[in-house]
Amino acid sequence: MSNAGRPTNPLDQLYDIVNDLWGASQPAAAPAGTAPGETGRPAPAGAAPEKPRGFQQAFPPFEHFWRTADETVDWTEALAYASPQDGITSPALWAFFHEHAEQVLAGNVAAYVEVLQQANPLGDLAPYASAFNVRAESADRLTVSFEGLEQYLNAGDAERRRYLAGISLRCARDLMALLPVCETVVTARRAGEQLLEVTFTRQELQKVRFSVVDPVAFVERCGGVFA
Amino acid sequence: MEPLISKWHRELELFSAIKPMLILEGNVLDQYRYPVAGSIPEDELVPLPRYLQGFFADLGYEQVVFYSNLFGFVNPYAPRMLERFAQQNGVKAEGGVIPAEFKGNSADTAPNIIRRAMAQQSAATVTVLELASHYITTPERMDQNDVNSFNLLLQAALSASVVRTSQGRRQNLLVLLVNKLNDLPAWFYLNNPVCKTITLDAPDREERKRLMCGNAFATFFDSTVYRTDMPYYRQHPEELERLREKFVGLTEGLTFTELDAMRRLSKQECTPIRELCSVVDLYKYGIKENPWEQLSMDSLRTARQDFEKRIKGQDAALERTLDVVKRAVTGMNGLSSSSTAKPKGVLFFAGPTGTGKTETAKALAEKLFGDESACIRFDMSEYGQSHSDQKLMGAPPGYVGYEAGGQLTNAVKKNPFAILLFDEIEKAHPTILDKFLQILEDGRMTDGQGNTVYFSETIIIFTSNLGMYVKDEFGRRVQNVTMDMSYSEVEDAIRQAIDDYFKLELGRPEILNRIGENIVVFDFIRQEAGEAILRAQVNKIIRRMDEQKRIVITVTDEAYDQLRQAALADLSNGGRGVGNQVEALLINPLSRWLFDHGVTGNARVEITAFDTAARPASLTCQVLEEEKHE
Repeated sequence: MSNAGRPTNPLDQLYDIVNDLWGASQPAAAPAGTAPGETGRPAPAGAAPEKPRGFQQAFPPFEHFWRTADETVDWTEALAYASPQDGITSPALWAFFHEHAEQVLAGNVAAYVEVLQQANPLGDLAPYASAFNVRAESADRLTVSFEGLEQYLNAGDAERRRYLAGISLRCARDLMALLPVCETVVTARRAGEQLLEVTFTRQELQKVRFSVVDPVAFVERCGGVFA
Repeated sequence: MEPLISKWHRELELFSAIKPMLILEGNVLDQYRYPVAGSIPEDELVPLPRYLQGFFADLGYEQVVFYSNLFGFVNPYAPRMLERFAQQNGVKAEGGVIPAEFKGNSADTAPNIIRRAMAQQSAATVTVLELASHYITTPERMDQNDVNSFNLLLQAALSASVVRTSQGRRQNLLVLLVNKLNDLPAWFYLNNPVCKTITLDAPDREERKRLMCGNAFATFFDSTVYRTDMPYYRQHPEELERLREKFVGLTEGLTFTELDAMRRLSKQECTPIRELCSVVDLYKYGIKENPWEQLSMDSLRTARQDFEKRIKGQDAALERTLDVVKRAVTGMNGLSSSSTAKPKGVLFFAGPTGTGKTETAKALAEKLFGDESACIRFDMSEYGQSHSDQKLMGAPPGYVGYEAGGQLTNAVKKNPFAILLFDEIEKAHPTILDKFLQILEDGRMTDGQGNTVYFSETIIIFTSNLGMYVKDEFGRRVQNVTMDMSYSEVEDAIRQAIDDYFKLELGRPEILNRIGENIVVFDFIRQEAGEAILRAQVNKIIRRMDEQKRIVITVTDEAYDQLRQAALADLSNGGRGVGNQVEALLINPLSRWLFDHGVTGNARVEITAFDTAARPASLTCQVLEEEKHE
């Protein structure tokens, strides 16, 4: 079984062994922890194959956190045209973007907040973390904080880091896909205590190939320090 | 904003009321900007069929259908129109298509259905024949079935009915979309009183400008880039206007589809607003770093001195050449014309042979692009036949050499940042000069394979010996300029001769007009320049011998004087003549002497005398001392 593109960790190796033993004869299971908001999304490129059910619930591989993200909203296009130009976005959603485009492109923080409330970009991460709190600090910068879930935080140091880095990266990708900010600061907490704070810049994110990136190393490169 | 309505849109409006058959030819595969709000939002870019659907629906037509011989009749934009059309003409629409062959004897061939649709009076109908260029192989080789089908279309147009609609009377219409008019049989449209041909061109300056106006401008940029850059330009609208103007100038000749692709490219690359124009280079040449933009002013400031090291005795010519370069570098080459897609500069080097014309072009390439090989030379004496243009631009499909493309177009495709040197232009066939007209005017050329090559980043240099000789009253070739004339006399005489050649002999003053005041006349190599050339060549030989063979050569003053007198005795062959003399008087005798005396390296040799009268020339040397080098 190939591990190409997936950082090796003990749990994944164990999963590979289990899958080799039983994978072929097991009935296909739904991907672990699929959020309601993700229903109908295409499978993330390079996502891990399905795992035996009991194992999945214990600790999912999380690749889909950072390998997928919401589609980028093209605000300049939404500003110029009243109807969808891409042939994909629904007319109602486009109308919403069109209505807010001018203010968003003017960097109006109140418009950011309204868009964030309506779009709820982090809703699909609810099964993996809680207490998401997004703030528009300025036209350039968003901040987001969340509480990690105990079951993932207790899984060992390497897995905990992978989990926090993955969620953080996904938060940043989703928020920057929605709003034209230059950076996003993500803070992960456990019962109010800070576990990680990292600032992702758009410039950095644009250079990353998410199908092969190691989220922990990337977060560290962005100045993130794990507690 | 006032609606900007294109010429062809107005023509369509005008002639659809009076002619039942319209042929739209030219840029039919492009997208078009819908100019007025109606069925299509104002200023939206749409493919031509979608445009026509909106246009005719807005005019009050009740049915618009599109036919192509591949699929039959369709209307993807308003399927109900197709169903009504099917019912009305007694045919069946299945899955959004009315299948119908273009040729054949059945009553349900496309021309027969069209004839019925054109004759009926219950619903104003437009039938658009898409890709009408491809219904037959060639108009010259039509079989009777082809002829019959076009005859039926002609009949349909001749018997078109007028229909009452809620917006007044409308005539049923037949619209053909063709790439080239001559894809259709000539008898179909020539002297046809019911037919009007409307040409669709690439967007003009105003159209392109409109694409950059209002909110449409924002769509050229990534949302974050636009949000962060725009506040500055709101404060400095004049800078934004300058950028827009420059972009509009650089995109001359591009289609709407290409402009749209450029827009998406700019967005994808997150191009900052100030670098908008770099997208044109990125689109055309696949690079963002334009060597012209990278040229340092300091390096250009020393250009004169650098040139003088290579080209001797041509002060005026070098000054004129550098003026053109400075104009190109400062971006002022497009100021006097509407298009900045033209080549960066055009120079016409004239004057006696061996005076440094080609060398100047090479020096220029090295200065501008850091490499002499950026000077691409074409010996125009190889293009003396009328069909030689195919060698330069590529043969058309079906002809020998089609796959190879053209020598000029291939070279520019490979290296768009280059000096193009067309040596001895007067030897090229006059039809080739027509091709140059287009390059000089539009800055682009389409090769035989249909690829457009851009010359807007090149400097084009023509060299010529025109004006050196003229014909006297008896038709004999006589010298027009001589060494005893001053430079200004030489310049006047040569300019006059060039003028006469283009205006009187070729009868093509327009070519001369494109060159403008950029004729640079090189002076004869005079005594002083000849001495400088001789000194430079002798020094070069001495340096090479030292570097390669470790043979240090010195020449006594007396010997050098003998060499100088012999080498500079006749300067009519210019610098090349001096070089030939150096070879005959110095290089050949010296190598003979070294060989005969077994001196192969590590030596000091002094040349004490030249016997330039001997045949072959000889010299006297002595080995000063042996030196051992590591």
